[in-house]
Amino acid sequence: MASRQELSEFLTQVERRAFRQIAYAVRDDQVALDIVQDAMMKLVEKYSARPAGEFPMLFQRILQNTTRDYWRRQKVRNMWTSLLSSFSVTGDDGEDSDPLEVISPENQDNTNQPQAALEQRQTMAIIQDALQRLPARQREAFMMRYWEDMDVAETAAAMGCSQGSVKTHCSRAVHTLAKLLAEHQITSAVLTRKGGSDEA
Amino acid sequence: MKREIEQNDIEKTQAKAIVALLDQDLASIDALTLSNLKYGREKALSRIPVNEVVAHRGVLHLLGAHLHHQKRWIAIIGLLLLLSLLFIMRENAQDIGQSDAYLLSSELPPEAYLNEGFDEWLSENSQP
Repeated sequence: MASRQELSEFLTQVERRAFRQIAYAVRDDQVALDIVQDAMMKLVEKYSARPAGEFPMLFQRILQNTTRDYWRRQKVRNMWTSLLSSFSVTGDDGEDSDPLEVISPENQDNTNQPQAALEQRQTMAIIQDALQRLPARQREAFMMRYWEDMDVAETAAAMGCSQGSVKTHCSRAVHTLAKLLAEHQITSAVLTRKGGSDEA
Repeated sequence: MKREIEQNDIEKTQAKAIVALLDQDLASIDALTLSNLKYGREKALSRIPVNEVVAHRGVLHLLGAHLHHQKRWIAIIGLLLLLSLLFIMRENAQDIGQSDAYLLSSELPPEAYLNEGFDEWLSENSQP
């Protein structure tokens, strides 16, 4: 059984990545915050007695399910909204809600070099855009497998699919990302250089 | 086979490079969001079931460790009520059995006790 300390450390460790992961999926920071908070509560209330080693898989599963619940609610809400709006006169308000406008990253200058900071922001914006364009299952598999560093079996358990499917999703995700990034002249070499140089 | 391994290595390298950038970008999450995440975490941690440890030990575990505190008390009270009811039913059954045995083993037939004249006769003849 995990202690409170272990649970706290786990949540501290994953909360930022979880927030970003869900923000890429739902494209709304406030909704992402709600989903992450909801998932943390469910993990604590229902699975705090489990061994700490099971937390990553359980938390990812809860995150995915909570996100799906959100999409279901959105679907119903959108259905009613479109139904009701069909009875009203269309105004200019609808033009304000383009989800792609939310994509712009909330970057801040972490460096004293404006040029490098600008390049970094642009690269991140492209990566985020590419991640958001991935099919949901591919993005989930990519995030869990490579960002959360979960193995294939854990990822399969969290996604509720076979290990073969996880490998396929991951492979396709990486190919799609590489292709989308190549369209912006961002190759593996550039990625490695940026990732490596800034880490150092 | 060799080509497949090479392909996998390329994929992993690309994935790790992207992930390294994503990790760097975590530093750009604004203070308000971080504060909200911290608040959410603390709120979640405050909901750790207190009786989780107790429930895994002792006799209460037999009632189901997954039951929450209030549910467990409701179960205990329900069980006590059920036991009381069974005890009362058993006592009643014993009384009825004893009455039946007395009536059947008596020299008088059971109808005699329902006859009003028998009571009068008994009171008249029992006086000295």
